[in-house]
Amino acid sequence: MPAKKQFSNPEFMYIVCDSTNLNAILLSTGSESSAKAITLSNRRLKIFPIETWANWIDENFSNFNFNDLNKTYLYSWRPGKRLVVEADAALSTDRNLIDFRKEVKSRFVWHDALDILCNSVMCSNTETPLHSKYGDSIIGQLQQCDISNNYFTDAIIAYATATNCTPATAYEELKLHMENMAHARLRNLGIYIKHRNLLNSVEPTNAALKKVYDSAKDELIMNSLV
Amino acid sequence: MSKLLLSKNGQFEDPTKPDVVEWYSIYKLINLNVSLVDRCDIIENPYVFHNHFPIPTIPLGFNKTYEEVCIGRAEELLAHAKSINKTIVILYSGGIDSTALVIAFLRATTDTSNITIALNTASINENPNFYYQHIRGKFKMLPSERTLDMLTGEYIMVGGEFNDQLFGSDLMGEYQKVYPVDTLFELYSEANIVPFLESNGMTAAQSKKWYSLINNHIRSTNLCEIKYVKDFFWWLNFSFKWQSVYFRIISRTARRDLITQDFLNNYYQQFYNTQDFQSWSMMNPDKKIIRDWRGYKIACKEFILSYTGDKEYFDNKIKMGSLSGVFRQRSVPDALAINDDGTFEFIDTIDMSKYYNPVNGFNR
Repeated sequence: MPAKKQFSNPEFMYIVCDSTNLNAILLSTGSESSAKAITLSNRRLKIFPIETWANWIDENFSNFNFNDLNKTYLYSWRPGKRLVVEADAALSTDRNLIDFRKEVKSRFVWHDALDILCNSVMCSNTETPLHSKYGDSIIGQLQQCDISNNYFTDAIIAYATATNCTPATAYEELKLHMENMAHARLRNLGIYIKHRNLLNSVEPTNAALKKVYDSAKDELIMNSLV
Repeated sequence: MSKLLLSKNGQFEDPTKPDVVEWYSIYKLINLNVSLVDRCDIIENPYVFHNHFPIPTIPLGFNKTYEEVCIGRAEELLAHAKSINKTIVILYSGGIDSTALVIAFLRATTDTSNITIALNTASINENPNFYYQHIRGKFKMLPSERTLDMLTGEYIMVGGEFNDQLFGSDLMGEYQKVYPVDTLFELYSEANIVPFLESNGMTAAQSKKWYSLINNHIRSTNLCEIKYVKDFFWWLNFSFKWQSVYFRIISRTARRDLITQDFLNNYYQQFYNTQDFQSWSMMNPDKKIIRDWRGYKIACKEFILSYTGDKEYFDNKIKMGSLSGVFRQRSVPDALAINDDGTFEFIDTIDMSKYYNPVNGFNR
């Protein structure tokens, strides 16, 4: 028996299953967003997060390759245990299931590519990890200020003192960062959702799916080149 | 029928038309989102473009310095803002062009209450000293991620476009990556231009054709002194890319319904888009670049230095593109066109055959 794969803790594995076929596992991925995206393409699809590090997880989750189209496995659970078993020959050779799995796999590859693309655009955007990290705190403080009555929270005043400006300027500067971040993020999210839905609705041919991906790439990056 | 102003040029590729293939070869060198339109109406494209910005003539006796033109332009825009009672919003990237234009306003007035700066974190990081010393606390600020939503008539948008076209071209920087620095200052000729075009993927025949077209263009217009390799690339940018630069923000606006020429004249101003700036550019080939890429836009950097005293910036700041950061995550129409009555048309899906011009400069 091959050695158990070593996962860093905590690392989820997401398996996408066909709920109408005994939860036959169609694919596995480390990307939660791509897994969730593909499940929107057909209500038969269910996603299960597998806590790879936990002792109630069947060690075969580490041994099996759920992306091998020549093998079919079934996911199940009992109290205190999550299990995976090989499907019987009848299900493994079921033409409908095989075709459905191929379709899901085809769409999934492009969902994964779209997810990576959207994330990479945000990385190279104006947003900085610093503002992203402190964003919740900043927004919380900005919301408590009343600029028209010249009221600023102690935290905003402390930021102003530390960076040598007035509280009003500190408020304006922090608001600027948060608004830039929100605009860029929401545009990104909108483009992602639009193309995610298209990837789930077009014919599952490579050409049609690539066309959707290229359209997203145009909107996200290529149109900006001048 | 409408004529094109700006288009996504990838859609024009047509291997069945030899003239289009020859014309299209320049896009090995130039980005496909740029439409090259001859402002002198000499080189005709295989597709019908309207020349919206004929090249100006230099007024007799023109002898203004770059500094004088900058401050004069800021005064002009301040007067315009006052006359229509609107706030000026400066698109500030932190780069050389937008820094100089902020300084022009600071030199033109001590009252900045009617000026807002649109910027983002990248703008601050591009030139932190300038932000902390001259912007923060002195101007109102807006998020520049909203730039393309700002053409509503609420503000007068003032951008730093065209300073690139006044001073040279990114191609000068690319040329320096391939050839020794000094060659930019050699007399231009087929021998030093054609190999550069070929190195970018154009065939020998295509490179010679384009060189010949531009060289003839320079000789026949004879508007100013164009002697060196650097001047050759400047002319290509100055006389062919101007229109693309003007319309690239407009083509991405969120409010297409508002766009008329009157509206643009009132609310969309590019700081360096004036006859004075262009005259200065045509008359001062020696003030655009010295030594190497760090000496690019030297007159502009001197103008900045005279205000900030920041010698480190003057010595080391190099030109970086910033606009594409603002243009990300946006859709753009296939083309922007102008109708016979002067109205603009945003064409989301273009039928390129409608714009084919069989009698053009590439099939003669």
